[in-house]
Amino acid sequence: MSFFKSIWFRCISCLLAIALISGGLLTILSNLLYVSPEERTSRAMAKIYGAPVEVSAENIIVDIDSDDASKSSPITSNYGELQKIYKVNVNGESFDMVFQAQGNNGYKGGTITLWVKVVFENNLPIKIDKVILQSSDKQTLMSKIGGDFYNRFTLDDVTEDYKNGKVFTGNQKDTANILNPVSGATYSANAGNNAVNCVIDYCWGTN
Amino acid sequence: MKTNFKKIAVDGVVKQNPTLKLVLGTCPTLALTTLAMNGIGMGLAVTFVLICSNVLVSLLRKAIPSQVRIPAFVLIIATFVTIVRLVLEKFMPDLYDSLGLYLPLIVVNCVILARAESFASKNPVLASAADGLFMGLGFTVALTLMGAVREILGAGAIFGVKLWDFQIAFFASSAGAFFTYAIFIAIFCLIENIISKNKKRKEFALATAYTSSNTEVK
Repeated sequence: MSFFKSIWFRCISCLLAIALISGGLLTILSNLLYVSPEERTSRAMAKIYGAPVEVSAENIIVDIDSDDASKSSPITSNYGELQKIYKVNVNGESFDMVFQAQGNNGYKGGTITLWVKVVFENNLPIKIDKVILQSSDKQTLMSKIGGDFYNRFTLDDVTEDYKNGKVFTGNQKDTANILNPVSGATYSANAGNNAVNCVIDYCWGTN
Repeated sequence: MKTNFKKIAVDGVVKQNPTLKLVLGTCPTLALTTLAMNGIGMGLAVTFVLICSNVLVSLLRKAIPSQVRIPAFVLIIATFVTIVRLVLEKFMPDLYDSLGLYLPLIVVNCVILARAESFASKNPVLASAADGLFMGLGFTVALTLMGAVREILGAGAIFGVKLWDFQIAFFASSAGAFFTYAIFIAIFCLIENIISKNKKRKEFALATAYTSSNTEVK
């Protein structure tokens, strides 16, 4: 009986009560505020196109969140993997392809996931039109990577280089490829470059 | 005892400003002030957690045994930080992405634990809520001002709006963060010293006038 009046019991029961109430509250809130993969995708599409875009089932080429087993496997390469590939704005042989690409070899072996929009005409890739950030893993210096880094991928002068087998690199000494470094976040920039390189590899088939 | 809200407000924003006077919460201050918007976002998130945790700590101050008060405070703070994370991820994904790692780190922000321990655990609910609000405001103002200065000098923009092409990359770097922080603390102390000297001078002048008038009467 004395145990129930002891300070030990009071301490443990107080901490347990707070933990239980907090846990219960957070369980309810995490269910209410859950962001599904579909919602994340539609947010990204809205960011790319400025308005929500619906993708019909036949225009989904790859989607790792899909229940369809034939579409749920990512396309892997040396640079990373393509986790989602959608055909959007299909108008005969002209359309956009939107990729969710995860680039490898970032800081501490982490990754960066980008959305990349490629414009196709006559079934041929014309240029990378837009690149936006989806998420990053283990990259603590993402705030250093600004709009200039993403815009570099969409410049007209580099499109010809993709066709000639060039890819993006953050390495200043690697002059054979297209330089796109970020001072102070070179590893993270490397992962970002690799995400786009996955797309270049898929569209232009350089390697 | 009557709560002096004016004193709490002045203490929170000026006299005990958590960033510029108490030098607490320096990790997000240095890391996130590359943009003014980040400063506002982080400041408001901390303000919400400060108000909520102060209110709850104040409500439970007689129920929590003093031996486990710190783990109990951390549990309470962690709960509110998780709520902020969930809300931001759902409704403000851009801000959520830009705050990144520093959002969960609010749990170990010294400002919040310090106010829970030094104020909320000893004061009534309303005063604790006011303390959380004004401490949070002081933190937000300091972070936003630092963010604005660093964004203008480091990126030539303010709140994402480009002002000019002139940029000093140093201000966007970590070293620039320390430098800007030091300049801000120096300016804050200078202004505070000038104000306190003026106040003392006025008090001295009043005291002298009072003494001389008393002497004349005698």
